[in-house]
Amino acid sequence: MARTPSSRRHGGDEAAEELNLTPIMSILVILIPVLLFAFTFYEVKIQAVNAPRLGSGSAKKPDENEKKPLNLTVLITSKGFTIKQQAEHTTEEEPKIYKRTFQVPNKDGVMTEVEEYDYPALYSKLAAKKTQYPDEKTINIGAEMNIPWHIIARTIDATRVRLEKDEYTDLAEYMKAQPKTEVKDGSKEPVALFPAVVFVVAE
Amino acid sequence: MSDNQENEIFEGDEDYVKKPRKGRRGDKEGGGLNINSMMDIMTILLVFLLVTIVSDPLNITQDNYLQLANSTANYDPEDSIPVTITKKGVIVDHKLIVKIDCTTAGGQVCQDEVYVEVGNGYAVDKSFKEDGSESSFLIQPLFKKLDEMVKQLKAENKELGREFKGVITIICDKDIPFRIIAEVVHSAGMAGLSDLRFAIIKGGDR
Repeated sequence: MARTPSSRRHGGDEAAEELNLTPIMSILVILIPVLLFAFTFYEVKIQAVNAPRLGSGSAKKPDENEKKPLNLTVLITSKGFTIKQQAEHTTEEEPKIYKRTFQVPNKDGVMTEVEEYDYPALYSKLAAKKTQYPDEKTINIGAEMNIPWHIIARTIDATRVRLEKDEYTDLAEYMKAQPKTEVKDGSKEPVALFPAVVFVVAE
Repeated sequence: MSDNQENEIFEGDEDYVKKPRKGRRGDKEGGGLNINSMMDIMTILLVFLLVTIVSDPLNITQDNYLQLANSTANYDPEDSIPVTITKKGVIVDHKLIVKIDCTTAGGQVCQDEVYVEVGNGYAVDKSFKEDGSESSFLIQPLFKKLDEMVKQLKAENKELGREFKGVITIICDKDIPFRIIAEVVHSAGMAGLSDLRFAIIKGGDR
């Protein structure tokens, strides 16, 4: 190979070993913090929900009475949960699940008293229902108009998968509980409780 | 400086490298650092970051007005029409479609600093709704916008021979009341989007 003027100036073969990386480095040093800053360190997932069936004309009242065997419905009010189901399956009304106080460790690990929706009781109730009606997959969830979304999201969480135990009374224990898993097609899948969630609008 | 650097790098096999290298190079090159390994790390990091950022279909940036709820749900986001509901308004396609009014517990209009307080009420003004009535669930501008998008997507999918699924991803602030969600869901349903996905952050506790 012919010697180029530049290689001559830099003193032959030894200098050719090392490239001048300084400009590339300065680009990288700027780029990486920028990208790191834009990088989201939380994991965004999705929760699938079905919309209520809408009538074409007066769609203000979604049809809640689709022909379903059980039609299990959880209503979230500012006081607690109400569970309802198709009349022919039960003779008595389900007792309401009221908000109550729980002992939950706060950020520093100190036990503090908080008033919270009784998610453990709701889960226990639904788990019992699932045992009673193993083929049911659908659950309707409705809420009062002023209930914020994070409570609804947490309620959906309680209805979706079966946990290790069928009954919980302690909120802290319930919060730490992992879903029960079963081996399906060689991979571990969580056992479903009521995976098909439908929103309803309570009047 | 150069000598020190080389001593450190080749500490492991001093006998073999140190003396000949020192003799050959030394002062001639001045401040040349050996940054090859650092370059390697940075290049890998760069590629990794670029891939993660580009492949994220939702790409949500959270701020004071958009805090996602936590959940243990574990489904990956998919390609769909995203609708963002922040405390300030409903956003589709990076455009503010409807403003959301915020009132404090005392009935005052929220100032910037009290927007995030617990107990605030959020609502869509009735002038945006069908017939201007308070009880209506149809948000007109949102419906119009979504309807437009659905028609366009349907036409595109038809040309490509794909099926239109009607999936909508709702990226919703955690304090938004059910009323607004129901309104958005209803408007989307009227536009033909009835398969709902809610964006959440995967948290450890349920």
